Amino acid sequence: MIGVTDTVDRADAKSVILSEILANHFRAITEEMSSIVLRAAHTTFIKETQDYAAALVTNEGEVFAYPHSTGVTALLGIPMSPGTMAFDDWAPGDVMITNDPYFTRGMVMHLPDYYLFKPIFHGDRLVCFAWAFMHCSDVGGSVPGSTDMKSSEVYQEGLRLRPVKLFRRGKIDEEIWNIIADNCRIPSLNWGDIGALVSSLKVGEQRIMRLIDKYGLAQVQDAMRGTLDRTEQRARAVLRTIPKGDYSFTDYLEDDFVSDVPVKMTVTVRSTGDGTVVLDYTGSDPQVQAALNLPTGSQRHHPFLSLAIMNFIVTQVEGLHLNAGIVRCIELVLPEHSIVNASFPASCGMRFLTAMRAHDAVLGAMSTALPGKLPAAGAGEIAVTLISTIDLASGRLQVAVANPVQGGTGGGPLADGVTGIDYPTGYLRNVPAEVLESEMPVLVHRFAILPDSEGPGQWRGGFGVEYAIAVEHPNASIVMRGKERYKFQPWGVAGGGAGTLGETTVVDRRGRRDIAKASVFRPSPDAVMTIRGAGGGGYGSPFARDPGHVHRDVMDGLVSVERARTAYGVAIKDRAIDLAGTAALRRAGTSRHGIDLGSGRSAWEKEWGAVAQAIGRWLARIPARLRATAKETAWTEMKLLPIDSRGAAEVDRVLQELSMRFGA
Amino acid sequence: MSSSSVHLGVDVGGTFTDMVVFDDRGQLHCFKMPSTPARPAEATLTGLDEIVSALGLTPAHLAGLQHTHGSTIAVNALIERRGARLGMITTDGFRDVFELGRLAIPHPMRYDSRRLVPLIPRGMIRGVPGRLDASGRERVPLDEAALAKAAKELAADGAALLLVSFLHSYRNPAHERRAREVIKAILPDMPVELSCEVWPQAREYERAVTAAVNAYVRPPVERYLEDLVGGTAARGIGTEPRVTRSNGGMQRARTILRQPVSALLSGPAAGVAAAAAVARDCGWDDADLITIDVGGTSADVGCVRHGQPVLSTEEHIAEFPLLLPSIAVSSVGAGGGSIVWVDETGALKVGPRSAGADPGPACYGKGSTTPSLTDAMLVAGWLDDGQRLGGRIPLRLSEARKALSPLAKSMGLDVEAIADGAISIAIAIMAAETSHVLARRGIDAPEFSLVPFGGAGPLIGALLAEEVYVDRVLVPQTPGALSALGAAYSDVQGDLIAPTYRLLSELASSELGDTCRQLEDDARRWLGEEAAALPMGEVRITFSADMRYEGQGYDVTVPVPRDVLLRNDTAALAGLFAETYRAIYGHTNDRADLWVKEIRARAVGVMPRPRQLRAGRSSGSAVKGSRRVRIAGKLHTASTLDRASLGAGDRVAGPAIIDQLDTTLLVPPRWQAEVMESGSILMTHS
Repeated sequence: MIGVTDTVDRADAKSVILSEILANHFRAITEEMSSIVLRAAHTTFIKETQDYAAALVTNEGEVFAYPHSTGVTALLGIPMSPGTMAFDDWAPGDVMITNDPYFTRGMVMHLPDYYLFKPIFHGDRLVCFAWAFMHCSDVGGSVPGSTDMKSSEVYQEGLRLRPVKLFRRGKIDEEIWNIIADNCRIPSLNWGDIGALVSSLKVGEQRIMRLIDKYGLAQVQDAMRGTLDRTEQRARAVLRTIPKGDYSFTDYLEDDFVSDVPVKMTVTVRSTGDGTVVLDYTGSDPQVQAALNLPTGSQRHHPFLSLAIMNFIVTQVEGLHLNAGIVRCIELVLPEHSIVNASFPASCGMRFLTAMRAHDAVLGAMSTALPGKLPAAGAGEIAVTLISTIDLASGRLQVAVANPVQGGTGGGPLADGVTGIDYPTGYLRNVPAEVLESEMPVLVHRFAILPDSEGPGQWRGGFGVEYAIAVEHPNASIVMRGKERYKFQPWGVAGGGAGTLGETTVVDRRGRRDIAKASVFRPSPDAVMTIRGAGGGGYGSPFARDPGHVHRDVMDGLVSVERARTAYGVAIKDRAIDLAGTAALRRAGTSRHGIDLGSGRSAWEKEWGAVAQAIGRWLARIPARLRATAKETAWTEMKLLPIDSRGAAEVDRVLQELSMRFGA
Repeated sequence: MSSSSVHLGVDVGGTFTDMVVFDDRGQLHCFKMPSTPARPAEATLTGLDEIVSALGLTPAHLAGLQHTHGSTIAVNALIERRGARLGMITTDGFRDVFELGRLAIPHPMRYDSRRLVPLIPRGMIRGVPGRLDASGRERVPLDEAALAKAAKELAADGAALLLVSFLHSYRNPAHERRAREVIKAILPDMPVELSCEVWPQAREYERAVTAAVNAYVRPPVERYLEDLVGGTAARGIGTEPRVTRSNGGMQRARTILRQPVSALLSGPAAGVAAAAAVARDCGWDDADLITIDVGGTSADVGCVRHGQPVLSTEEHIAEFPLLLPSIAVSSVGAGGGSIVWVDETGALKVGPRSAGADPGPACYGKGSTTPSLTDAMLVAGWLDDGQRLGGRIPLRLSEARKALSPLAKSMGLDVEAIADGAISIAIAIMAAETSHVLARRGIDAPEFSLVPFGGAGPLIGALLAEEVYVDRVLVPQTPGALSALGAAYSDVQGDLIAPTYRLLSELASSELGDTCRQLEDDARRWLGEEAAALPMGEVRITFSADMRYEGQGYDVTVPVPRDVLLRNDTAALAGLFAETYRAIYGHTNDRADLWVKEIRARAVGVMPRPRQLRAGRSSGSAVKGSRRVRIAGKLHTASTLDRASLGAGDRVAGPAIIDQLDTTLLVPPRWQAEVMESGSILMTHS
């Protein structure tokens, strides 16, 4: 390892400089590849949600360069060896395509993502791979857009394609393409997008070849390894600041869309003190019969379960080259057949919700491991909204992506949270009302901040938002997915309060009704549908908040005078701070500490917490493959128990009976 | 058309005010004044007095002086938040248009990443009922009572100006115009700005931001122009000052006050425009250029295609997305002041932090011990010990070495190797960003030439060119004052836009023609107003259409002949789109439908060009001596030359160093430099 010492030899130091030079070129190549995908892509999904990426990958399957400013950030560090090692007869001009989560052991994580790989050769020597992916708006399956929250098996989610060569030595295999085209709803748009990916891979190949011509093969290969090593070392330096020890936290997906039973995600952050962090997800629930399962292929390193630690590292290090070196120092322990390590044939369309909740759970554990370094929980949802209509004259199906509705980030540790977005999906853009209305028969009534929705704190959470739309078409449908935190609020930390809840309501001539997380809504032309995202949790005691900041929020109409008084202990009189009144309020109030899980989760835990724990303990004894069914059955039985006979003894008796059935 | 008047071009920067003058014989002179940020016109006026006495200008010269001014005044006011206190009235339900922006945060992986703080706080924004739809039809009438109430409240809260931005006003301005009448009736002295009049284009956030920035920067721009107009008139200058615009053109000082946002990027834009003009002077009428302006804290990259600066309509300036067409300039965080450091793993790094202008790099001897790129260049011999930068600051090699030596020690290398490494890394960063910028613009650059300028540009130019696989570098006569030169060269230039937002197949039969005629009338009116006070020659109005395949995220701006629009020839329009699209992406998609988003017009009024002397003949005595320089780890003996003594046709083989007042030019090994008839130097790689 190269350290800041006097003993480094000159050759090493010079190769470090060359590696730094090449690392900048590598990044530029990925930015260029990424720009090509974005500019030439055809589907709305790519342009508006930035759900695409491009990178350079070593032969061993590590991403050694990744763009900083475009596309999905969360795929950095995906284990790519199932892609690079899919063939042993790679040839120049080949392009491999796959979207199969199970064959690729968690490299791909749901079917709409097509991953493309192109081997880059120097002479007959395989140097590295160019990789690019995009989220196709449709890959077949049971619903338009392919993702139905209620899918129970991957078979319902579209065509599954294990790694195959779409191009062999530069020539397209029409038969493969025809299979893809015949099994999706929008073949020509997908072809446009795949064309964009292929162009991007070609540019990656040309640029690497130019670097080799200029700097030499050995130098380029050294730099690939060198930049990975140095990113790893810099990441480890950050992780060494986490005191040695185990820190645990549990968060929930509040239900699984097919039942109202929450899905538990427990993580123990284990810091070894030497720059390695183990994320042990033991105790997390079994996989579910809905599209929430995250197939991570039992990988030792995986970014989707490491988001909070990766973000923490990137926040702490200036000028870090983004690559898989970051995930080398984050090791995973994953229970088999679980929500975080689902096995075939679990459905996984909306698995990003699970990744988001894993992010939150790690934030929670880190709040005790390293107080003052990470924010509170944010809205933790993605709420993708697709509107489709049929053009009455031409019969053409029109599909548009409306705003992704999210709530706010958590507050802190050193600033207020961000309104209307959360970090794991921080790259998502809204769709301007003027654009949406020009392309579709839609009227956007509001896109606005929800005052008083923030988790209060010294650093308050980001505010929730509401989005109200009407579709002026007799035969329209709105497909929504990825809603969460409609029952369990984003939690606050270090004395900060929990945020609010999301909700979806409809107002039409029949009145107002709650459609909550319904995945399809067919609006009448007089209906206005409003989607609200939760406000993020607060950080630190709200009574420690600078009264000037509270006053500013009041003047901006974000916080009401009443809430300033009750939540923050700040008295506002005649649009100014009442200093004496504020002092009195703050003296009388009690400062809070620790985590505020929010009333939703607290109420559920009060009613069901003991039962859930008993079921959890019991499930650990059931064979892993049976746990999903066992959990479902156990909960069904528990819900049948009269409310006054849910005591420990009764619960154990029921579980004991079930044990026979599940072979425990 | 060239004129024998005296021509003056000015660029007011944060540190220096650059001025270039073509005298009545066509001789080019360069002046550099320290800027006076508190009253920016002062430096210009003092400089003018100096020029008058230095060149012996007569009252007749002054009466006919042609003078054009670029500045960073507007953009600095924006960055430093020194603009007007604004209030805004918008459509009910969209009060948070600024707070929410386009939702995304700049660096999603960083927990400290935040959106831009809006120019107008939420408390100074009101939504009022009233709604138009995308076709411009009124769906809810404007609630005038609510509007009046909102206006009064905002005025009471201290708004110095009210901005009105309603949904779909680009399509139908009726509600915004009516709002102005209502406000004027109750608050006669309140200035009112309408988003549809600043730039009528769809996308509520970007249009409102463009209008807000316009109103925000007006007071400082107004103050500056008042000083400038008054000060030049008082000196007997008979012509109105002109101001350069972000689109590379210029317009009258009096008329630009309606749209000061259009002058936001005037300095950097004039630099790119000047690069195009310099290439034309060399006889390259159809030049493809990459321009790089290397300053103290950053390097600005621009492009010229077929002799025209590449414009963008998606520029972010000081993080604000602005819709007006601007010369596309992207900033790279590497410049002469970029700090050289070693990270915790022992890897050498350059930037993104900068030592700034004061105290600046260690070699300025002003007390800084932080090593920077300029220090590395001094150690490498690219700059000379004791050399005066810009004729002013003497550089101290000993300070540079002292600053770099802790890094050398920690890496186990000598100071020279660290200097080499730092320069190579900085060039790699610039090269990487440059290729990224070109990719974003959809440009693949093998046939391009590089035009380096700014203080450090000509030092880095040739080596940067090697990294981006370009083998021709064109160095203008005054690389340190190129934006001022661009100002002196600029033509009147305005942009107009009209929405269509329709599928090509659904366009009404006369829609394109009607839009074209309307734009043409507006363009002629705009040019007429400029011509009233300017000696404008030929006038050109050209058209283009913003189009895309259905579902795509980016428009392609397609130049369209006027008669195609007048004939409403949609088939020809589709053909033109396919041609342009293929040129960028190499393929087309014949099955997809086409959107026509906007029609644009550009109005150009050609101005008399300064007459320019050709370069003098060779004196044969330009070589001053030689010095040792390190380039990419190798030590060379480079001859040193004085640019003023070089004449047309002179050739210099690298390694060589050519000094001039405003910059130093490095000719690396395997590069040849040749002085062209126009006075520029062309470097070619062998």
